[in-house]
Amino acid sequence: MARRLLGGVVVAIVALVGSSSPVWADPVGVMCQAFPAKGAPPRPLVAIPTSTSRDGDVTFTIGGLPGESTLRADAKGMSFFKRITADRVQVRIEVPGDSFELEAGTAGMARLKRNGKSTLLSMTATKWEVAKAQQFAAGSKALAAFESLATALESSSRPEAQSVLTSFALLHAVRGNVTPARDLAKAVQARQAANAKRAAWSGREEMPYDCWLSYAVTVGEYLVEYAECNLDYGWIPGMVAVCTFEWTVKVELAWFWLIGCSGGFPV
Amino acid sequence: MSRLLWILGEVVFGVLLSGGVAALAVPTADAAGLATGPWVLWATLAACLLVAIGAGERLRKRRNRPRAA
Repeated sequence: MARRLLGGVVVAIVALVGSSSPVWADPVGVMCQAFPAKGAPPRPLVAIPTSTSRDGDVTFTIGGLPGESTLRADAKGMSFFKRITADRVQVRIEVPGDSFELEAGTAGMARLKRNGKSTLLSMTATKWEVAKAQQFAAGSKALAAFESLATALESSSRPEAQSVLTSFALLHAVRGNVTPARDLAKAVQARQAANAKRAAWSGREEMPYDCWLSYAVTVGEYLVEYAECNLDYGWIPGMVAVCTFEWTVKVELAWFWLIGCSGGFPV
Repeated sequence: MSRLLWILGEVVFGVLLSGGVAALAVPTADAAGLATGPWVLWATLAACLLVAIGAGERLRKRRNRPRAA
């Protein structure tokens, strides 16, 4: 009985893992499929291009669906995709043989993806997370090509170019380099019209995905802290048990927080 | 009453177990580059509850089995 029960659980988990693998045959289309609003009708697979323009060697395509905007920039063998919704921005850079993706939410969490692998980050950017992001992005051909694109667009005042440069600043910020963001802020301030309205923060309910990202980053940090505790104090008799107890309490509290944050038990 | 308490204990143990399993599995999956999401919460919870209830019921039946003389 117990063996059959366990077998069923394993089959269910394998089925779930198998169905969650992303397919990037059509990046723009798949980006439009991601995170559909609760109760919203299924979205079409392909973004609707509304306008195409050129700036030197770069071709921009702006598209969109209700509630989201997409931008695509193609230049010299590389493609840049960006999708913006009310609470999320997704950026994807592709060159032959390499791809890099950043997905960031307004809750301050980010996910980096590279050639099918992914890592989660908190935008509070602890030293550990910055090192993790740098290690993850190291040697990326896609990011190297994106540097060239950003350099080419630096002097452009087109809104599409500014959007690309904003993503460039964000990609650097998650890796601990805030210089491009500061440069962009200075450039924008210089062009800012006197009557421009500043963006304002608005209260927003946390969604399960935000809860999950916070939880995943937190338990990752707890595991690192546990390893550090064992390394630093493990030589003292009984301290391994103390470290384990501390880790257990913290992860159980995080787990109950996650359950509550995701809607709680239906009781 | 005793059975109700036993089931309640199994559920509480299952939830606690799922917390420990997820806390180990999620950073491991993250390090391996596997994408996780909120579904992992419910999948882990369901799996651990099934395991805890299955094991608990088995233990209860063994304890209640009349001992051979």
